[in-house]
Amino acid sequence: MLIKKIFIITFISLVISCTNEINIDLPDINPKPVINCIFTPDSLFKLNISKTKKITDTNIYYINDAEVNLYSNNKLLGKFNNFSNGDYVLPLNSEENTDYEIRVSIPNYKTITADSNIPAKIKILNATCAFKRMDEYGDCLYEINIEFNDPADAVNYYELLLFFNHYETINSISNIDNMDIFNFIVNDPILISEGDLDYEPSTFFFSDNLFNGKTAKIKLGYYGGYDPHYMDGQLVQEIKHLYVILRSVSKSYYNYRKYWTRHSYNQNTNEHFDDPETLLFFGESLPMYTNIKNGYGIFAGYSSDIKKIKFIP
Amino acid sequence: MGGKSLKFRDVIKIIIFIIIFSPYQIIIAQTYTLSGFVQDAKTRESLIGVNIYDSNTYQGTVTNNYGFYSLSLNKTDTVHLHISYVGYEKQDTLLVFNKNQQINFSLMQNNMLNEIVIQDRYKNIERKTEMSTVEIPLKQIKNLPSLTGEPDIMRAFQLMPGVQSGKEGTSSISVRGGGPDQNLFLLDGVPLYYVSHIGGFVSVFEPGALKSVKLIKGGFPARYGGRLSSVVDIIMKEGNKEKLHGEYTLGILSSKFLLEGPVKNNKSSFLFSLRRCNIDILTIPISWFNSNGESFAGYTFYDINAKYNHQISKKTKIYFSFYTGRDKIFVKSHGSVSIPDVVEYRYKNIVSWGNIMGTIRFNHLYNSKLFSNTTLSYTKFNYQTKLIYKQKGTKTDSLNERDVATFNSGVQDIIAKIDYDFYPNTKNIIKFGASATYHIFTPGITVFKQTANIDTSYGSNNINAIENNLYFEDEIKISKKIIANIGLHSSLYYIQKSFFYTVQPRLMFNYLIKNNLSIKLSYANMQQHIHLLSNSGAGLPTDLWVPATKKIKPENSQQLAVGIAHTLPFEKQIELTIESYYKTMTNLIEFSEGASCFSGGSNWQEKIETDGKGTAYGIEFLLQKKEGKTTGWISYTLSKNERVFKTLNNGMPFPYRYDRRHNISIVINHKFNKNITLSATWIYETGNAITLAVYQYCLINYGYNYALGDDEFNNVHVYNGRNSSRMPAYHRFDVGINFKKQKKKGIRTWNLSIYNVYNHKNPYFLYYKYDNKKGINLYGLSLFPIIPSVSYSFKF
Repeated sequence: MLIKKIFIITFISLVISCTNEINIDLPDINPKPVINCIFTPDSLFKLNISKTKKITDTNIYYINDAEVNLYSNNKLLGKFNNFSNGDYVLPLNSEENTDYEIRVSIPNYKTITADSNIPAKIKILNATCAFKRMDEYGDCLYEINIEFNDPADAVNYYELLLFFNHYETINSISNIDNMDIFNFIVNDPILISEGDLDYEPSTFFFSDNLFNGKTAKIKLGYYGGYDPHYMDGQLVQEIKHLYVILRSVSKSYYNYRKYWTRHSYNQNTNEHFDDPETLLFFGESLPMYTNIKNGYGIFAGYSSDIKKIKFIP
Repeated sequence: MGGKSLKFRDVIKIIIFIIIFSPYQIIIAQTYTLSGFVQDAKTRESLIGVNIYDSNTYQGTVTNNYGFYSLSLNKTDTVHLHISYVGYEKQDTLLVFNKNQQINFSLMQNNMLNEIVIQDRYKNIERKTEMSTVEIPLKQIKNLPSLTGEPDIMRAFQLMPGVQSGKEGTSSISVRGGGPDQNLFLLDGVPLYYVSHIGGFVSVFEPGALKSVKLIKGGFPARYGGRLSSVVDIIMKEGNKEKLHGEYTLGILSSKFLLEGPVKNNKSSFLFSLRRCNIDILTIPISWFNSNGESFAGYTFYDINAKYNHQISKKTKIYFSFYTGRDKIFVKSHGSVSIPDVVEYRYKNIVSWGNIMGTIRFNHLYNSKLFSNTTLSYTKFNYQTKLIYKQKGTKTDSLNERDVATFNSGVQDIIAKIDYDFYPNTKNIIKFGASATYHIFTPGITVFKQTANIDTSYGSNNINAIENNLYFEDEIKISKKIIANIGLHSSLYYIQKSFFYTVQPRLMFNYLIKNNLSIKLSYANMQQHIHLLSNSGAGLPTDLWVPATKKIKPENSQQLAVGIAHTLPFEKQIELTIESYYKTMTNLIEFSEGASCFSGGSNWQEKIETDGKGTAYGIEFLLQKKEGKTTGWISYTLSKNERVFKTLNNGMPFPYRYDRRHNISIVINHKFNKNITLSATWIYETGNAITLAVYQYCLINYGYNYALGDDEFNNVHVYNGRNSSRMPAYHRFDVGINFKKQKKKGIRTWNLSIYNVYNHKNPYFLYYKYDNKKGINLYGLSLFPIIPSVSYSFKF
């Protein structure tokens, strides 16, 4: 992929170019409500409501006068309380294996509804990280193996997150490095078959299509630096820990992650994408998935399991 | 495959029937045949499309692509032959005509370089069977103002009705609603797949090496097939058979050299031309200097055209044609380092693409009525990126290749074909033939090699396919007022154990209402067995050619066109053509929403939407003045161009990316005197259809940050529909002037051109950008402001 980018970077640098502001009459739109709610077991329901806006508008328009109710099997579980900036909270812990529905009433808008659930947590049976070799540039190749059992009775969806903390002096999960897809060597058919790797996903998400009812075995290669060096005046050794997080996600959540990855990759007219290579080579624009009826956004749940593994150089 | 009204064996039967019974017509009609070749008197280059007609009977014919003609006339005492051709002096000859005769004609070039001689009535547009065909004399193309002074036939075609240009500055064309992949480019009868340099700003066709160019937009004769929307038929010069001649040109963008001349006893001649881009001459020293001598980078391209022909006997002639052209972007660096185990390294990165084409053709004249051409050819387009890293451990070591990464994609064809021209009587000109093509597709393979331990290749494997074609067409003079061209093109395509078979009917009728007015009608069914996967639509070499497969069926189109052709009753000939067309296309493909071919052709079949339908319709006006000191044309096209896919845009029709409602071009050439010619062009087009985000909302990104306890908001773009927005209208004015002067040893020409005279910023693409003061605004990136250029050429 990087190889092909070289062409366009060179190509554009050869031609004379200049930018100028374009006046195009964008159509006036009636704003639509946007719901953002991802819920996890044993946490309070938290939801945010805002409005769509013109692409050129830099403000965020929160809605604070909505009435939001949570249902399960048509039974009212509670009414959300409004805080500032469009935030709504229901003092109720969400539970696994429960279907939830929200109904949102906003003055001058149609009633908004959405439903989703939290699938049961799937435990990580085994997670290992083994040092394979060091190349001549000092980069180390690790092999990561993760195993878990997939329930046979339904189609299940997962999200896999892998985080690393690099330094002995930093041992808090809140300060670990981002997951960088470019550090991984992905040859696993489960991940490849999803077809998302071209779009630089920030996590891995997949269905049990290839391992329904069986033990899933995912193998990944990971390239990471190993040299000890100074940081803040102290010599630190990279004692890497790997955090493996396996999320058992609802179908809505799976669609949300899949669509977002492709949508953001192909936001050809995004302010961050003002370089020519993006516009010449990236795909057609993809409308974002939503499971919110009469609005936009996402209402979805997941449960997760986490394992911390020490790297063995 | 199913549902076809005609089967393959039925087509064979029809062709055999006509061939067998045509001689019978000759016997009962008692005609004599006049046949021969027409050539340039000075160079003895054969001339294509020369009109030969008898003014007593108004029976006539035109020379084929090899300069051959055959005219059958009823027995008579004398015929009054008129031989005429654009840019040449007309010949009138009285002949006693009481037996079959073979006569070759030589025509003298008209000295008025830019002026076209008065047209014969026989060859006026209203009397030609063909419609939807654009021919621009190469001399006129060379005079048109152009980007960086480089004459370009594709840019000239962009100024004709029904031909939309692609993105700003590019030479790609969209013809009557088709995509860039739906144009068949034939160079000496052999397809070329990618015909642009510098990402589309210059086409690969070097006008100096060419003899004729023709663009067919509809009403395709049966001999053509394989693409839905157009055929660009380009014939290379054969080479001067009389004298050694040459020409060199020095320009800002490129330099050119051409040499042609006789080889042996005036029976053979050759042509060789070389064009080379000069950009790297500037970039190499600049980059070398900027990097303190550690690296350099550049871009260049070249085109080599070569042709050799030899008259083996009076009836047999052989042609060898060769073309190769390649673009190359390169970055090379080297240096000395003092890290362990490495004292010196070299790094090389090359991106290159291009075509190579070779063909051998045998012409054979069986008798005065049957002419054949047998062709064996090979053509290849290839795109490659290559990264090579070398290093050595000690000063005495030699450099070792450490890492190599290459990406290859492309397509190759091996073609064998035979074509016959048969002139059985005064009323029919029959063409028939067959061809077999072996396609090898490389949708994209990446190879990594690391000396230590890794040697990996991935991507799609080569895919092979076989395509066989058979055609038959008959140009029939039904009556004095009605001429028709009726034909069938059949195609059998085999790939991955699947067969696709079609019979494609082709019909053209010309009804002469008055001597200077005719109405024309055509219908053409076309099929295309290859697809182009393109994200950008800019016609870049990174686009991938892929075959039709069992899953992705061949594209098919049907086009109906109706028009009038009229020569206005002025002293100076002015032609008016108005044509309307309606075209439907099926089995089209598009990338799935969000999909990209950026990572090569792996799993490309999974990334596309199939079974798309397209509809294009419009009306075209062309008013053309071909003679006098001032020549040129005004063209206008009003058109609409849509696509429908079940899975895209909620199944609703959406404008195709090349949909432009209005398209206007004005071209003027004025000859002040023998030495100075001024050309000016103005073009206006509705902006291309694009997908533009019109509103947005915030979405919480629950990726890794959420696991760490942070919420992160991202902007989701909301689109009004696929291609529902428009780029700003495109318009541009170019002007160029040629100064010629006869020198002792030849003619020198200075060309001055100004591209985009009023410096209109036509955007190449649009994007939103945040600015602290202005907020978010829409911006356009324009590539070409006003660009003056100069070139010098000398013809000896």
